[in-house]
Amino acid sequence: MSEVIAVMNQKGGCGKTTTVVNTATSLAVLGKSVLVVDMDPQANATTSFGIDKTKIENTIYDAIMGDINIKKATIPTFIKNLFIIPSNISLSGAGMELSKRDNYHIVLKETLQDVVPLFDYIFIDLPPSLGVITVNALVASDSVLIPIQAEYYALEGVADLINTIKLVEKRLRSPTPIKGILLTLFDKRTRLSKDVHKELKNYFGGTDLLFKTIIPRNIRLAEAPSFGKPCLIYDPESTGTKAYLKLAKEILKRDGEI
Amino acid sequence: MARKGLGKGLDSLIPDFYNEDFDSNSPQSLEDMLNENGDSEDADTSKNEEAPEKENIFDQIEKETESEKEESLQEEEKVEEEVSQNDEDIENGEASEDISSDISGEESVQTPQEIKIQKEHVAEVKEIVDKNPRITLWSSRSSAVFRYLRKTEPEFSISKEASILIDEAVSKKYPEIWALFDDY
Repeated sequence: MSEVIAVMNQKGGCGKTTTVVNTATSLAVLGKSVLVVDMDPQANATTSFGIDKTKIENTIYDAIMGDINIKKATIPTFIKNLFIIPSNISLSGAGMELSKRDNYHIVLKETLQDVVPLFDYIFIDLPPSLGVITVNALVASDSVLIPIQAEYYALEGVADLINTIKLVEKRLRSPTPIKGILLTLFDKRTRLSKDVHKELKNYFGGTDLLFKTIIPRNIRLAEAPSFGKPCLIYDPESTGTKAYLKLAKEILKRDGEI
Repeated sequence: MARKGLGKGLDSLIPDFYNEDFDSNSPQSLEDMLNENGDSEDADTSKNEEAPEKENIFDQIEKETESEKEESLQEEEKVEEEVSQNDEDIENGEASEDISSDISGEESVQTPQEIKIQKEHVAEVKEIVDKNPRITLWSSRSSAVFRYLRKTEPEFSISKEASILIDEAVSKKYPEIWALFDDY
């Protein structure tokens, strides 16, 4: 059974791409077939797998515009069983172009339908905005994973994000349950990090929404993309790697896979 | 002291899922891979279009691994057969004859038949190596040195360095056998 997970948060720098790249890699390492869909024109997920975004011929943009088959844009990575649909700056114009179309919100869902059954998990990496692309991703997804940075402003955006998810559910009749809230960039030395964790526990109290796994602020996680590698390859023994492996296991456990 | 965490020994698993020589900018797409597999499939695949596709892509490597496993199982069976044959031989009193012939063989020059057997082994080994060139070894001290280097040199590859060192050592210690595989 395939599951499409949108990793979204309109706040930048909260660890969306890091979460997509490293959770996808961890799940692939744990034996799952995984696809990463880079829906961010900045293409950071693409470059995290050592792909030169200036040299890609076929991107998610070409696929959603109907110029190519989605399978043509789906390429293997150096990780066994992990594929990616790359992106580049051309995607930045997609929102405008899509909004002119009828049923613009189902374009991504329709585009992905040929490849979704081929994978166990499909992660959609989104830009830090709540525009047409994000709405498309919500409609195309089975669930949403929300990374939240352990800082004060991060909490303010959570309510907006949840409102957007509810709005899509109501207006487009496309419910997308929250897979989980992931606390990222956690610095155990600071009181603020602990306070944010406490606040999140209160906010989502009584639910299982908050992942037990917490992603620490870790220099190796930050360095890995500059070497075009997921952290698991760059430094398998780092605390960041271990945290994302733990998250992957938690996801599998939630899904009844282990 | 037992180590905590999920990263325990993860380095050693990396070659299983990470292809260091993979060209990330290769033009090959999922479509190409499916077409390649489709070409080699029988016409029967039209009966069920989706399922074989998924199997073709992701199970290809699995199948290779399974065939390796089968090979090793066959080898194990062979060994078991030899052991049981040996037991039978001992019961029948044939073992002593074998031992005596072994002893006499040690002193004599290799017969053409023995050379032929050796060549057969070479071919057999090459067949195995072609399918699986990987070896795994246990050494805490070397592991510690390599892990230290990996932590201090970002692009350091344990696999590359280990193969350079091991190639050097093996070629020195077993020059004759090393020469048998000069095409690798």
